[in-house]
This record gives sequence, C-alpha cells and structure tokens, in this order.
Amino acid sequence: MNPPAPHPRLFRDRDADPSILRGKTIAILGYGLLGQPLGLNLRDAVGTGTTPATVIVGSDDEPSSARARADGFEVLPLVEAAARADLALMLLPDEVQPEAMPAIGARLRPGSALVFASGYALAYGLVTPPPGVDVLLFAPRMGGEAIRQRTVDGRGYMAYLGVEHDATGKARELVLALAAAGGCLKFGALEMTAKQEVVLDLFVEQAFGPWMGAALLSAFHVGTEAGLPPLGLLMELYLSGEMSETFAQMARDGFLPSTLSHGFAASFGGMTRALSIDREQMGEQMRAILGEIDSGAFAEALQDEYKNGYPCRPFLDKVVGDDDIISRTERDFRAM
Amino acid sequence: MVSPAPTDFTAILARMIALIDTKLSPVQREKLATAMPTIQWEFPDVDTKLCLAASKDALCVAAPVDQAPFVVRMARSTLEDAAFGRRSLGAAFLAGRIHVRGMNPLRLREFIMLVDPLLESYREAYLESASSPSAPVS
Repeated sequence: MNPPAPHPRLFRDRDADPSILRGKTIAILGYGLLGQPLGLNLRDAVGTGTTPATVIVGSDDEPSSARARADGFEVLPLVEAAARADLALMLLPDEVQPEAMPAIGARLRPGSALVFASGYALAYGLVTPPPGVDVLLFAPRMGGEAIRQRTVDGRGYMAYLGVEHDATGKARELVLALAAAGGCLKFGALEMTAKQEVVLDLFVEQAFGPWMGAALLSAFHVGTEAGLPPLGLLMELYLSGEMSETFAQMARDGFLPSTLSHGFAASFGGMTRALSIDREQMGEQMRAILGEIDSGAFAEALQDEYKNGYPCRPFLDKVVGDDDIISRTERDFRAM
Repeated sequence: MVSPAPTDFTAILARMIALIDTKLSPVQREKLATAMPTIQWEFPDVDTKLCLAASKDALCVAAPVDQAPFVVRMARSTLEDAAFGRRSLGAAFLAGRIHVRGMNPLRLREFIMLVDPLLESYREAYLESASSPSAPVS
C-alpha cells in the first residue's frame, strides 16, 4: 500500500491581499450556479471604494443574462467580456468549455488571467489557454447558494486553489486575492492541481454518492415493503435534518468520535452491521471508477454525450421527474 | 389484462427481439453490438431467461448462460407495467425492481437507445400474441 499523500498547503485570509484586485476588471463568464454567487461576492468585496474593481458578466444565454442584469451587472457577450477582462472566470459547464474556449482565448489580453472553477477541461487537455495569460484554479467546494450564504454570514467555504501557468510571475498572489475576495479564505482553501481537483471531485461524486443514494433507496423500499410508514422512513433517512446534523457533527467533532455520540445502542448496532458489509466488492467498484476518471474515459464519455446533444439526459430527467413514492411522500409532508 | 403463460412469455420475448431489430438503424445496431454484444434478460418470477445477441447485421435470440457478462433482471410484471405505461422503468429502477449487473455505465447511451424500441416491441409482440392465441408468435 502506498503511504498517504502529504497534506496540501492550506491558505487562509492572512495569506492573501485582495486589494490587488482594485482597479481591475473581473469578468464572470457564465452566470449560472457559480457565476451568480461569485459575481455578487466579488462585487461586495472589491467593487466599492475609491478604486473599485469592475465586475462584469459575459453570457450568451438570455435567461442567465437577464438574471445578471437584474442583479445590477453590466452584461456582454462572452467574448466581449473576455476581451475587457484583467481576470476572466471561466464558469461555463465543464463539457461546454472546450467548444467555447477558442473564441474566448483569442480575445484574452496578454498579461490577463484565466481562472477555472473546475480542473476538468485543463486536466484532460480539452482546452488550450493562450500562452501569455496566467491560468489559475479557484474551485469552490460548495453549491452556489451556500457559497453566497456562507460568505454573507462571514463563515467562508472550502475551495481548491492552484496555478497551472504563471505568465506574469504574479499568478499565485492573484489567485489568493481572488479567493479572499470570493469569500472562501475565511474557511480555508487547499492548494491543488487541476488534475487533483477534478479527480477528487468526480471520484467522490461517482464512487461515494451513488452508494449513499443506493443505500437510501434500498432502506426506503425494504422498509416500506415491510409495512413501515414511508414518511417515517424518509424522516429517519434525511427529511428531519438529523442526517445532515450528523454530517455536520462529523465535520465538527471528527468522523469516529461522532459515531459514539448517538447512544450505545446506535453505536453497537451501526458498528456490528458495518462489519458485515462487503467492502471488498465496494472497493473494487470504486477502484474501477477511479481508474476511468483518472484515465480520461469518463471525460471522453461526457464529451461524447455533449457532442451528441445529451442523449442520456431525457432518460435521467425522467427517472428523477417520475411520480415515485418518495416524491409523493415528500409532497405530502410539505402539504401537512 | 391476462398475463401470458411462461411459454408464451418466452415466445413474446423472442418476437420482441425480432421487432426491436426492425426499429434500430444500422448505425444504432452497430453501436449496440460494440458496446454490449449480449444482454441477458432474466425474469426470475417466471423462471425465464433470454439472451439478446447483437451484431452489426442483426439482433437475435441466443441461449442464456450461467455467468452472463451483462444481465438485466426484473419481474415479468415490471416489464409489462412499463410497456403498457402503468409504471415507468425509471420508477421501477428507483424502487429496486430492476437489477442491472455488468453494464459499463460509460456506455449508458447505447442501453438507453434500446429502451423505447424494447418497450414498444414488447407491447406489439404481446398484442400480436393476444389477438391470435393459437398462432405462433415468433
């Protein structure tokens, strides 16, 4: 077995000087799940005062553009925004970036910075930024709504930071300033390469997430088949918020200590049952998934899905949108 | 609706595969043959197994095997509910009524391509069988 990799460097507010962003033009390219909270955070942090940074939005999508205008941003076509930017944040969906990059890259000014919020396109060689620009990674590890809320609350959020190409010699201080102004360094940010970021992200999404989802579904259906009330099962599984409190407790007190805080019956039952789970099979599947992510096979499949007009999407949407017993039970609860 | 007896069910499945073959384009058939050359369908409630073998030229029925690389398992009623629009395959999958073993998730597209033709073909084959109960269905 290989020894564990060393801890990446952790950055906090003390490591950054967001004032170096003042006077610069920051372009948010794509005003979606990440674009909106980051745009608002950056404007709040460095968009006011005597030499404010100018935060603009680049978008070719009308609903997104309308949302950005409603939030008070100047909105330009993607390439026009890129041309004006000292820092351009590439926030388009992963699979769309390769197609959009040539036109955007051609308009970036030498000495500007191109910032990716996901390592995907860089790590798999799907984009080639122009050589004269800094290429940075600022990848928040939080959903958009939480990014904004945790910044407003002053808690910050986790992110990964990295410098993929330092054309100006100032790339590191720039990405740290951006992270601080974007609100994450109050919590902390780990230094990562684009490849590390994307593999971590996809691996946990694809190896851990489905097991958790499958366990939840199986517990629900086994319980309902046995006559347990569906609403009671969903409450136990996630609807009451107890499970999310448990995860919060893991983060606060530690994973193993948190298992001892639910009473002996819970610890005894949980630990003894965990021993009977076939983790060898689970591990084998996870290693196979990791292999496909690391080799680029998953990226190839995702790009193929995009190029062919998302043929799997209707099927996946239908599975999620079906009138199933879980969705009905949730609706019943909300109507109570 | 009266469910067919198990022997008829096998014949309906065989006819279903013949009908699917007419609904796929040569390109689709070739993609399926490359991604999943055999798909074994198992219906344990009626002790029925059937293997769909895909080549670039045709889909056909092959003999089921014990350790099939790619298996889709469900009850006969699950297939019939989906084919006749009573319950979607997605809902059945979420409810744990469909078990898939051995599929390469990165080739989901090829499998999805098969779903609508399969349900439509099953419905046609079933109705053919029901309308001429004494006639062979394959």
